[in-house]
Order: sequence, then structure tokens, then C-alpha cells
Amino acid sequence: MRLEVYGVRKRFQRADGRALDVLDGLQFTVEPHGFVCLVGPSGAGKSTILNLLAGVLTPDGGVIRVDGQPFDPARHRIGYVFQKPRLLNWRTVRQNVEFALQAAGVDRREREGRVRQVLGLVGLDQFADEYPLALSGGMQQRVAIARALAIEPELLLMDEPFSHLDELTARAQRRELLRFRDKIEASVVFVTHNALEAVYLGDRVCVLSARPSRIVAELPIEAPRTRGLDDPALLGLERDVLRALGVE
Amino acid sequence: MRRPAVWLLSVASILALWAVIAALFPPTLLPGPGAVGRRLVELMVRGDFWLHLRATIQRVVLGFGIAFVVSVGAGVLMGARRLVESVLEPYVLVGLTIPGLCWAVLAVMWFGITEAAPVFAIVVVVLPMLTLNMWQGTKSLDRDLIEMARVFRASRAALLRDVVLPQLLPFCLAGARLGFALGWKVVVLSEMFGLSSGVGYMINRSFSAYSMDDVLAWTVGFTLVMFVVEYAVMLPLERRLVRWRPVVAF
Repeated sequence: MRLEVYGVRKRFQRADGRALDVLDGLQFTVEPHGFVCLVGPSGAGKSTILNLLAGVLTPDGGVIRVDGQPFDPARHRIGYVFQKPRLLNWRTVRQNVEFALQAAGVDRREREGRVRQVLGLVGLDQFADEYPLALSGGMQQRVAIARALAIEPELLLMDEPFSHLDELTARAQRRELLRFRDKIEASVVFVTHNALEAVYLGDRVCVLSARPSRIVAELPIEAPRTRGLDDPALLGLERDVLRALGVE
Repeated sequence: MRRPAVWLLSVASILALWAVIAALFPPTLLPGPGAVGRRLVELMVRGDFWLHLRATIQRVVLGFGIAFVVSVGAGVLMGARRLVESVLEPYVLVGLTIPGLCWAVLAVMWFGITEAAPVFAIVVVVLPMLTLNMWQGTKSLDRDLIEMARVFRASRAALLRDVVLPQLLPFCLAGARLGFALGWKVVVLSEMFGLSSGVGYMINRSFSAYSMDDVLAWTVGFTLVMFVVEYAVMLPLERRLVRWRPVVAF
């Protein structure tokens, strides 16, 4: 899908009654099958953006369009990978994936094949009947990714999915994500505070300002998909992102 | 040492402790486990032990059952809806404060010597405690998982079945243990005051006859029943419900 976000504003009511402006005139576009990384300082409303795109929140102003039509989250298949796995620990890996499939209205006969397919994709086909707590943190997050991919999302939302993993595991998972990136149809919005991760994964990086957030810089990433983390071009881009963040 | 062995040793230590203390006092004041055990066997063989036991258990099961069902509804609503919480909170707090003894007396005065008296007393005593338990359980539900279910557009039924209920089951189990234990204490009081059957009634009769053997034999008999319930029903149930949880040791 082609996703356009125009001048979106979001304001929350604080406990003491004062208003908190989180987003102010947010604007960006995700091309069909595109991969946009949103980078911003903590508290910049990154999760708020994803919740707006997931339909959990509604914007207070501005428009979100999908393929030129007003965005109606209920009419699209949207996959979400959270910061923490958020699995049902009392259900097996298979049942966790089935939970999303059932919610998406995929009928029983088709579910089994889909479960096998996505667990194969993330390399967990041997663990279908394990309970999540028997798996490592990295494997749990892969289950969460499988759950999001199982519904064959048109839009895949990822909220710092690797930030809770140790660096080695996170690296391996980023590489995996790039590997199966071409096998999925989804347009991806990936939120992170890690500039290098953003330039490594995305084909476009949008840099957010501090609250109330808007996009302060937009960088196309031209590097090939098979890029390595130590590619000097990526390090240059990382510096650009950090500069836009005002860190360097 | 293996766990069953430790368990047996623990049970044996209770009996040994009892025997040692009993040896220090005259048997009319505190008979030992041997005497009480013999008396218990006599009661069991005579036949009316089971009659009274059944009457008591029926009352506890009925009263506890009603309180349990109501508490699940009330507690979950209190945890999930602010308004219900504000309305019911004072009821729960007042209910927790009133001693079970008061309810037992009131119930007999209101309902006389009927089955309604002990059942009513159990319900009103157990209900606030169980409601508090379910209320706290609902408050501790993982919001992140509920949000996950919403994002994936799970139906309300799926949300309850797959996300909410499994998190509440440990609280239901704790509630069942608590409710049973409390129900047993209340029913004995009610039976002492105004009923003509049940373990409490027989304990009261033994007390009037100043038969220490009988008082203890009835008490031990009921304790054994609770043991059976715990080991034959509660523990296997708990093990089944939490088999997804890895064993922790620290």
C-alpha cells in the first residue's frame, strides 16, 4: 500500500489536566513495498505514530491516506511488532500465531499452512509446540515477527523490535529482516532511536524532532539491499542522521 | 532428599509435636494423636460421622459456590470499570471488616434452624474476600497484551478466552483455596449456634459432654477431608493450569 501522512497532530491530556502536544504537523509517505525508518529522541511520540497507523488512536488533526483513499484501519491487514514480544505465554508458539490468524478471519484449514510457512521464514519451525517462556528473548521476538507476518499484512509496523535484545542477537535479526524483506508484500514503518539501525534497514529514513514532533529531515538510502553494517556509505548516512538529530 | 519423603516427614513432625505436648498434660485436657485417631476410626465406623460430614460439606460447597460465581462477576467488573469499582468498594471493605461470628449469629436469628442459615453466613463472609481477590487479579491484567489483541483485531470472545481468562485462573485458584478454608470456619460456627447436624454441631455436643477425644476427632476428621481436597483436586488442577510456566528456583 502507499501510505501518506499529512499534517497529523496528536494531543494527550495529562493527569494534571494540562495538554501534551505529541505530534504537530507530522508528514511522511511510505511507498508501496517501501521501508521507512522513523528515528527520533525518546519521548518524540514514535509509538504514538504507530498507534495512529494501527488504528488504536485517532489523529486530532491532519489526514492519513492509503492509496489515495482516507485511511480506515479496519479495512486493512496491519501487522504490529512491539518492543517486547507480547506473546501469550500460556499458549504454544503455534497457538500464538494462530491467535492473530483467527483474529484476521483466516479460516481453520488455511491456518496450519500459514503457521508452518511463517515459522519456517523466521527459522522456528522446530519450536511450534514449545511455550514462549521456554525460548530465549531473541526467539520470542521472532515469534512476534512471525505472528505479524502470518496475517500477510499490507502494512507492517515495528516499534524498536530489537532494542531489548543483546547486540549480537539484534544484529542477526536485522540481517534476517533484510533477508525476508523481499518475500513479503507489506509496506514497513520501523521506529527506532538507533541511527545506524535505521540507515541499515530502511530505504528511507525520517528524522523526528523532540516533542511536539515533526519530520526535520528525510534521507533516501540508496545502498543496495545486501549492504553490510560496516559499509562506509552507511556510516556517512548515520552521521547525517545524527546531525539532523542534533547529536553530532 | 526426595520431595514425597520430605512431605511425609513434615506430616510426621506435626503428629510427633502433638504427641510430645500431649504427654505433658492429662489426657482429659489434651489427648494424644493415638487416642484421637482411635476415636476417629470409631466415629467413622459408627456411621453418623459421614452423615454429619456430608451435611457440612454440602453447606460449604453451596455457600462457596454461590460466593465464587458472584465474586468473579463483581471482581472482574470492579477491576475493569471505574464506576462499578466506586460503587462496590465500600461494600467490600465493610464486608471484610464484619467478623464471621456476627454473621453466623445473625444468620441463625434471621433464618432459624434451616439450611439457609449456614449457606447465607458462608456467602456473606466469603464473598468480600473472594471479590477482593478477583478485583486485584483483574487490575493486574497485562495491558500490553490487551492492546496487542486490539491491534490484531481479536474478537471480544477471543480476548476473553485467550488473553484475559488465562491470566485470571491463578486468582480463581487462590480464591477457591481461600474461600474453602474460610467457608469451613464459618460453617462450624453456624452449626454450633443453631443447627442439629454437621461437624460444628457434633463438636459443640462433644464440648457439652466435655469429651476432648471427640472434639479433636471431629476436628482432625475434617482436616483430613481438606487435605484430600487439596491433594486430589487443587494441586493437580494447578499443575495442569500452569504447565506453560518453567520451574523457577532461586
